[in-house]
Amino acid sequence: MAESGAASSASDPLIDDSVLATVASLQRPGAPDLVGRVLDLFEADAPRRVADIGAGNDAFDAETVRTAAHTLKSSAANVGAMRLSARAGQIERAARDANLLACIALADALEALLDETLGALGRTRPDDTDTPGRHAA
Amino acid sequence: MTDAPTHGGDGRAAATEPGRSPAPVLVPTRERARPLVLHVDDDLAALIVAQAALEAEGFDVVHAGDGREAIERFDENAPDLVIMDAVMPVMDGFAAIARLRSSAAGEHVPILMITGLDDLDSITRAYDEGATDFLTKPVNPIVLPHRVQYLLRATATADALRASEAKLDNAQRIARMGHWERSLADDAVSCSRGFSRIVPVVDEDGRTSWGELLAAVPEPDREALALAASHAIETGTPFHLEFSLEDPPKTIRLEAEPYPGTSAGEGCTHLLGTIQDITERRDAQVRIHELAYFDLVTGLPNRARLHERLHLALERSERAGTRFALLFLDLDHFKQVNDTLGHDAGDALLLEVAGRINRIVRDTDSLVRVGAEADGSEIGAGMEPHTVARLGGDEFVVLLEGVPRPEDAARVAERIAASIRDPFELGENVVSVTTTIGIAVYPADGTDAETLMKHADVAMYHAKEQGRDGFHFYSRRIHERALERFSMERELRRAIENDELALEFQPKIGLGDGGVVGCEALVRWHHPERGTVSPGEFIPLAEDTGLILPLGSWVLLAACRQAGQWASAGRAARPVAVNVSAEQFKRGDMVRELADALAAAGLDPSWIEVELTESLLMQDKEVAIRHLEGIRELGVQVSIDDFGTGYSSLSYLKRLPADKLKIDRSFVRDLETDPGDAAIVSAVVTLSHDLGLKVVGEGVETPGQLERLRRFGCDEVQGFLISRPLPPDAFAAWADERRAEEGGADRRAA
Repeated sequence: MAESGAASSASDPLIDDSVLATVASLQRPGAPDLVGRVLDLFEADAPRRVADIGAGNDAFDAETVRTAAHTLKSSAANVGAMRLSARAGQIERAARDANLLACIALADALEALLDETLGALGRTRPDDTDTPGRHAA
Repeated sequence: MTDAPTHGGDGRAAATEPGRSPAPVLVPTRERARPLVLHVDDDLAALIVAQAALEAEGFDVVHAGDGREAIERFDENAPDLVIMDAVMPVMDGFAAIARLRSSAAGEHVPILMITGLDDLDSITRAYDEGATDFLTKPVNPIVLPHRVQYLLRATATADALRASEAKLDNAQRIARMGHWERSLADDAVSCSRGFSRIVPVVDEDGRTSWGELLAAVPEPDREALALAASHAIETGTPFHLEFSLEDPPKTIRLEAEPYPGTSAGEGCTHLLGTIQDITERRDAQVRIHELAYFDLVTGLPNRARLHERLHLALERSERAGTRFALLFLDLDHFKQVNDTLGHDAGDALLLEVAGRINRIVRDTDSLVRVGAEADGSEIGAGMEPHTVARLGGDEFVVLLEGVPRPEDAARVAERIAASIRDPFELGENVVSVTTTIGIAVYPADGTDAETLMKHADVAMYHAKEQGRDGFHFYSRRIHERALERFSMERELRRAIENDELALEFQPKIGLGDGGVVGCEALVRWHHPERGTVSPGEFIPLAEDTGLILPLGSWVLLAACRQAGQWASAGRAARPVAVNVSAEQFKRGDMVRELADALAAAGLDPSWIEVELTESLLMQDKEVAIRHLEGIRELGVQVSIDDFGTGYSSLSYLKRLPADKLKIDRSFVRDLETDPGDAAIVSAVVTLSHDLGLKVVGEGVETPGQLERLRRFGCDEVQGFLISRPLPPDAFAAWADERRAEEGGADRRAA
């Protein structure tokens, strides 16, 4: 499972647009902007998780790495950031196996992947929408 | 994880959206327009996306960020369904599910667990903790509401089934019923919980076997159940059965019907049945019966019960042609006890009176049994021959069914009156009351219940007029006769004790030479006021009252004493025949009594002869033979009295250790006129001689009778023609004279 996940990591799309499209389809008129809130939450949360993974790796703290990677895996999936989610999943599994060397290796390019992901997501966000919740978290 | 999101605020915000009550719903209720979903996840983005999806499909949503908060939200909102993330801070989803499932409210709520796609362990664990279903991450928000909808429908079906089962179970519990189903293929029986409450032979799953079920039923009901079931299966007809369980005591009603198989020609495949614990109903019926038929104060039968018993007694007596007596009692001055000591004391007195009457009446059985048998009016086995009932107030009625003679009823009445006369101790008070009794006798005083009751009541008022504390019969004639017999009994007892009785002796002569061959001792009662009382009158009375035993002993002793005097004086003629009654004989110590009497008089046994009636000897033949042997071993002769009336067989007669046989006087009486009787006498004489017995003709009154007896070869005769019974001295003189004549005749012949 872990190997196949690692092998598929590169082949996963950076962003699966259908995920946010689905979320957008749930938007009710007059209700708070659903996609905006999901993106805000991700943008606020994901960098912290990536930082936590780095800190955990530095401290050889597999548990911290595991929980941070688990959360990142889910929250990335929420916005269709499939490559990031897959990578986080690989890190979670390595941490669960207490394989810190693998964790460090997998986390090496994590920040770059996050930046790439955030950049791609930023372009999907409608420019004219200024969600009040964007800076709330 | 240090900054784990706490979106309780969001959850509450959702709960306060328009259309929902802002107050927490503390009492769980399913009566809401939109089903409420509790969604538990630490991922806020996942929560808000799912909320949008669920709300769009008609659900309301409450959020919780971890397991502990989930428990709180659950208790506040009683949601219809829970979506639970597995991995969360503070308390994870598994622990939360375990907590929910252990609470009454959360026991049956559907829980949808969200697990990682690749996490098989979590899925297994989720089910172990009680999850209803699972979804893997990432959750497709479009699919989620449909899964929730499906789960709610499935739960509603399960709830309805559970509610229906609970209703059925409750109904069965209330009705004390259970149902069962026996598969004929393997005799397995499956039972409802109600069943196991009644007959605890089933396992936890309500399963048992037909054999075990049968084994729980005691015989003979077990066999009846097995037979009824096979018959029902064979014939396809339903059956029902009532039976008892012993421990604890229960009465069960079982109903069953065969269930036909589904395919043609398959026959019956199942037996469907119910059982019901009808113990309480039965107990109630018994209690109702008691209330309806028994008096609460004394426990005696009441008026209704008495009437039933009285009607039965009337039917029986009419059929058997027997008599019975009805005693109507009331307590004299009972009202005073009630008024001065209170009703409790009055009730206690009534209870005590009931006890005393019952005791007397029960003892009555032995008192009058002899007479009842003689009268042929035996009550069927197991029947209570008597009924003591309370009519109400201080009125009691005693139905004496086994008491055929009025004097016996009088005796019971007098004994009841005597027992009531003894003072009653009621707590600290000692109370004396008396009772007055009226007696009606069937059929003389009435042939229906009403008349008898009325006449017994009237008789009681007669008794009251004559001064309470006593009894009176309805009919003056019966009353006088009963009193007459009653007082005669007392006087006969006194006569035996005071030697008012005397013996007379009727001579017997031999037909060969006309010489005296002894005599028969006969008892006479010379009453100081009544004069001489006929034996025909007082012997039956003595037999009825048991006085025949002391009377018989007196006769035997007196006869031995008299014979002793004659023996030492060299007068009269041996042997002296003494009659022995059935009662004396049955008592069993006849031989010893005879030996004692002989010894007391210092008498040669050849002076005494014992006369026993043929019918007496027919009663218990082996015992009779044994006793007769004992008597003859003493040297005392045995004579069979009243022969020809007792239907003895020839073979029995041959075995009887006897010396003489007395032909009954009825045959002798018609000897001259009835050729049949003549033939019988002739045959008896021949037969007796063949068996080595001497034959005596009794009641000889005419020379013609004497002549015929002589011709038939009869050995001895007795009767008025020879001599009437004589007092001792007269007999001795008669015998001396006869012997002298005889001697003279001999000398003349010589």
